[in-house]
Amino acid sequence: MMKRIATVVLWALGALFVLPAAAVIPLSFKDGLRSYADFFIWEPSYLRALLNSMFIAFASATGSVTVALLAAYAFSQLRFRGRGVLFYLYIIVMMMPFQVTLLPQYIVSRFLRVYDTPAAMILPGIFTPFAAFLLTQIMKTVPQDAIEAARLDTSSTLRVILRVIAPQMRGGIVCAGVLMFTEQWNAVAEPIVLTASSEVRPLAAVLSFAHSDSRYFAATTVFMLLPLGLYLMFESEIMEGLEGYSLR
Amino acid sequence: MKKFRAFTGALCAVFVSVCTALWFAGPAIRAAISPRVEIVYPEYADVGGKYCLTLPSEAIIRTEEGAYVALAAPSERCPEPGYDVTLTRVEPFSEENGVTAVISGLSPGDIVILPPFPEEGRRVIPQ
Repeated sequence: MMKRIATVVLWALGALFVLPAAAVIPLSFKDGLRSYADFFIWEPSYLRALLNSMFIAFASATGSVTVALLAAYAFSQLRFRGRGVLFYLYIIVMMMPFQVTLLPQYIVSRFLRVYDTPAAMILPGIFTPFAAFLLTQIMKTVPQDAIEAARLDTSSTLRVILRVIAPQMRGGIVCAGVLMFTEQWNAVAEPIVLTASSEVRPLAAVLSFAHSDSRYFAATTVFMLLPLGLYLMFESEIMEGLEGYSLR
Repeated sequence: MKKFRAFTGALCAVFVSVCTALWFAGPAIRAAISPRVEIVYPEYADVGGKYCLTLPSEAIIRTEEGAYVALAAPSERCPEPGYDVTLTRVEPFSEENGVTAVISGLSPGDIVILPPFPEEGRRVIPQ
């Protein structure tokens, strides 16, 4: 009996979380398929913003996983002075509210002359400390014997990372990639601060200025699809990555 | 599991490809499916001693709230140049021989759409 009640309560709570996102779908069909025709054909600003989102999120996720993998190797395998301090700095930056780093990001993007370009959003995404932190924690679980044996075989660190370490933490790498992709996909404040024209803004930022009509709901429905697809595709890796992370 | 993953992966790839294709083919698609509309330009004429703009009466949309004309207004909504339908209120004051004189709401350069009128906001190709 208790199990049944618990199941009902859990289903109700689950529905409570899903309801806001699910409610968007029927609202997007209020004018039939017209809102979708507007999104894909008649209002190209939305479609351009969606393609911007794809490009920015993919470039950030790929870049951040690459950088994080190298950083994770340094933090988990190399012995050097200040390693602990540097790692704590990473954690501190990760814990900071993003608003703290927003203005410095704006200043740096101006300095690098990438303000109002996709690079202004991609570069901070590449150097997000969370991916490095996550992969460091997971890399610590990789058996040292295998790494030592690989080091005897080759002098190339990159080869050790790519041939021995990366295949053993595939779940963690995919998990970090998907999480970084989703973080960039959902970012609103950074694109608004780091860009001036709507031509380079991702869909999340464009939607924050849109009117809540059926076109808006169609755009939000389309906006949900890719992260949902990625989650369904890499569900086991995401779980594996997060479990590996929590084991430490 | 592998089949499901391949299926969702294929769906994601199709989604990304379709979005990209629609973006690049968008101008051609819009040009192909935008309704062609007949247009006139308002002309100045002396009506009852008053020099004002005139239009064919069929271009006037009369409703309970008042009279309107549908204009093909230049639009920057899409990357390529085009025209969108906007309704603008006018004040007709005389109608003779199928020509209506209006005293406000129009400028000489306005592109006025003749019936059948597409709905407001639609992209059109004036002819």
